[in-house]
Amino acid sequence: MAPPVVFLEDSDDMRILLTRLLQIKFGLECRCFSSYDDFTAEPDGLMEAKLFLLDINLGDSEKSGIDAYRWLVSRGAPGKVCFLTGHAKQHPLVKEAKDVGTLVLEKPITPSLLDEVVQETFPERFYAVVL
Amino acid sequence: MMRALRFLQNDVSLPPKIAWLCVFCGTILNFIGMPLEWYIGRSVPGYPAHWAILSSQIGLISTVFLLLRRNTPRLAEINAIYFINMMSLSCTFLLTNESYISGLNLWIPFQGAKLGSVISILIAPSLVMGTVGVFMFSGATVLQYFLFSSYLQSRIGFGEPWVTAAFGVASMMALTYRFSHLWLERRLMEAESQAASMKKIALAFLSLRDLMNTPLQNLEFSIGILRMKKSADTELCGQMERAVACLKSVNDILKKHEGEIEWNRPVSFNSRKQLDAVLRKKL
Repeated sequence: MAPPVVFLEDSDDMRILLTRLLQIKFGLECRCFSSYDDFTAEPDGLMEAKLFLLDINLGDSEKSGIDAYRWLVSRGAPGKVCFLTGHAKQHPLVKEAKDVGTLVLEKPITPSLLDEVVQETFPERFYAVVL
Repeated sequence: MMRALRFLQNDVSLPPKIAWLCVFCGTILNFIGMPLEWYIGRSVPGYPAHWAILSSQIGLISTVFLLLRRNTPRLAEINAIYFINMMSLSCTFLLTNESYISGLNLWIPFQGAKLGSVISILIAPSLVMGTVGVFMFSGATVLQYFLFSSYLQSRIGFGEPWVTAAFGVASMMALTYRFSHLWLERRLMEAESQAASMKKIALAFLSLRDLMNTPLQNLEFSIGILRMKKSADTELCGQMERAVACLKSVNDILKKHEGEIEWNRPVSFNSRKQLDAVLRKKL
């Protein structure tokens, strides 16, 4: 079964930590990618993911999380897209993405904010944990 | 109103090189114009010729001095030269007026003072010096008129001293306009330079925030994972959370300047390189 959460982030530590947090807290598997190229190589089951967490700044001269989002839209991915950004909340491209209904979260997000995102996307998992 | 007050509080001066050029023109005028004044007045009975010659000599010395200082003009020196030359011209006119009034039946009064008023605003290196110049020509002449005997006053044509006073007022208005324009131009330049600095600061803060936020996020997630463990030291977790909150408050301060940023750059960039470039003023 394909992991329900996909995480695109250039920081190795953050990929490891978020994967562990989602696993421990919600029992969710997370598939991580460090670059746009790896992400768009479209490994099996990527399109089946329910939640895409996309970092916006992926490094100097690299394609951004916005490009990854556009790629997902062009492929008709049904999952929820959530941007993570440390600085670019006011960037016109990010605002544009926000206007069409994507969620933009500003780093550092608290674990409780992550809970809310998971609750919206996987209500069954959330209730299982709370109960 | 406040703007006008601020304008009057700050003496507006020309840049030293332009002030040098203006005052240099003034000293040349003194040097060349006063012999002309002597030439015009030489046949008037009782005309004190030596004042015009003395003023011309002051003009010559000032011209030479300014030429020697042309590469390193200093505003204080330029102001002093302007003052000395305007004073010498004004005194020449004041000291020769009486001979013109008593020696000539047809004399258009105070032409030198009127011309001096107009010239003093054109070559003034600063607002204050220009005001002093206008007063030395028009103001002093009006004052001199009232010090003349009633006989001399009766020999002066109709309308004086009010025509000379009107020249003084008009000159003051032109002087104020000239320097208020310069003052506004400077304020605009200052505002532009301040805005550019703010943009640089905002960009530096943005890079700092981007550098800070990933480690902060890692700390947040690490604390979240620690709290999930049964053996977690809750007191220690609380202390770590407070430390993260403190760093987040710094982040919030940096965030306030985000409105200054022009987002005409790629959304993906190397924050470290960008910060380095901003600090080295390469942007």
